Amino acid sequence: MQNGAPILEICDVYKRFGGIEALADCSFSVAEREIVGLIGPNGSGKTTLFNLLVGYMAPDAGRIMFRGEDIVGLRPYQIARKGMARTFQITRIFPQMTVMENLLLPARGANVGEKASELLELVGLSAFAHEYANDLSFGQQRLLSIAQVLMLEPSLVLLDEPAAGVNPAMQHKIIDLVHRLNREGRTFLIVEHNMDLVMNNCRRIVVLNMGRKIAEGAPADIRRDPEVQRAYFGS
Amino acid sequence: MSEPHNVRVPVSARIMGRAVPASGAALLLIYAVLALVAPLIFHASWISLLYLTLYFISLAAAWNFFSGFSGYINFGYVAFIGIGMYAGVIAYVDLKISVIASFIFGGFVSALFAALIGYPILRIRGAYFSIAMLAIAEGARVLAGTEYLEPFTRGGSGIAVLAGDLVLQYYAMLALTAAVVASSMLMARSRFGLSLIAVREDEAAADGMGVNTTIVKLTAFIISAFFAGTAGAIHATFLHYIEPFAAFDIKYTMLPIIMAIFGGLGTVVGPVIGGLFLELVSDYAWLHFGRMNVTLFGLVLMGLVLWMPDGVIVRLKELGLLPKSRMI
Repeated sequence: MQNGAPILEICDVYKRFGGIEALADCSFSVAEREIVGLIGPNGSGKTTLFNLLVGYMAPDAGRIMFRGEDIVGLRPYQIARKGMARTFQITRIFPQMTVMENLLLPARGANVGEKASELLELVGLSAFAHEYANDLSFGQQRLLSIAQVLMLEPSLVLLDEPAAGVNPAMQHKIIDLVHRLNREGRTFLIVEHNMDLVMNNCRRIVVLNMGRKIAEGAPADIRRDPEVQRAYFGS
Repeated sequence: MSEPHNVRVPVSARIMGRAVPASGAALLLIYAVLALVAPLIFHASWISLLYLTLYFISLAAAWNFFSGFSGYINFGYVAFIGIGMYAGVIAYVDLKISVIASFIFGGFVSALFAALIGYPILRIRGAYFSIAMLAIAEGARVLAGTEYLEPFTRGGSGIAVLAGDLVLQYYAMLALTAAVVASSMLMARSRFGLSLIAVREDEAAADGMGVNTTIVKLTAFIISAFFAGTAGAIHATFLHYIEPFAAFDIKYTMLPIIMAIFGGLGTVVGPVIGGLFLELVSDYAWLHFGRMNVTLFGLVLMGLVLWMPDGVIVRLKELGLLPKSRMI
């Protein structure tokens, strides 16, 4: 199902917190221009993996290759500048900064103001450019956090539960945005608990359970996979 | 509403969009002219009070430059002031450099000190950072009085210095205050300032947004130390005598913090208002209530915490009496 060169290769990544194996020899890769879903029950290691990928912590063992380069040990800002960035499950925009300032912060290079204005237009927040981010609704903050990540011009975007806690109209808006950006050449790795959303929008899905990868494949195969059913329904 | 799209607007203009109105600029001009001609008009005792007010404004603004914007509350600020005092005085007395040069030298030595301690100490966050800085300031005081540094500092007997006169000290402090406030204003509306505010709001998220938080914090820390050290070096000539307990008195950590908070943390004008108002209040209280002055000072602070916890400037912005601009 992979349709291009791998942009991200996760090789035998291992991470332990005290007595708990958060990730055990986890390996998979993401190809350029893919939208990959990463699912698994709570505590399966999805968020830990995201934190390892963007450099918030280092794996105890294993390699993480981004565009052919081992990025283990790099600081988060270095990885962000290389083109891999994440959003957070609970959005972490900067509340005491205006919407526009939130977008200018990660921007680099020329014409950043124009880029920010275009992105605000795209996510429908133009009217709020000079309001404090704190004053936006939850869904709007979600959109802002996605726009903010895009200001980094990332080639790979990691979305942590982009649809959680937002209304269906806003969910559609976010999904449309992802597809649109994907057509423009960006790759996505998405953690999401909404099964329909993952099944309908990702062509490939990776399933984690208790820190191990238990399945990988097309949505239809994942649905039928007995081990996945066991992990989710305990039967 | 936002500016029209597709027009090239510099980043600085997009940070908190609105500029300060002409009335603000006019007011600034009037104050600048008044401050410049003051020594020609007023009696020396008034110049002395004006000088002290400027001293505290520059201290509060330089403290705010780092701590107000980054959220790293520096409880060892007096180390920067005291080191600037000693460096300036020793350079003037022993190395025989000019008075003006000794002021700037004090700033540079303090900045160098900040650069040396900054890398390890800025990895510590929150209350731990504050406590570590407090320990560093106390350590600096003790060190200045020990026999190891006695050849330079003269230990507990201190150093007398006769350099310049009140008018020179006044103009030097005025120039420094203008430099600190202007730098704060430029910083507040630059990407550097934005990065510093992002560190305050959520340091890990700022890191994830491509901000090299180490460099940003260290730069602001060093600049803050430079200004505080320069202020200390100027003030040493005003005092005519320095010794460890006076140079590293924790009072000069606490007062600038209280002044900055009174006016508004992380604002440009806040520390100016705080320094001006609180220095005048404490001077007035000293004059009329003698030893009770601390009580009045305390009452003002209680009122502040109760009614304006975010400071005067932030409150005025909320009430719409001041434009919501990072330049103020």
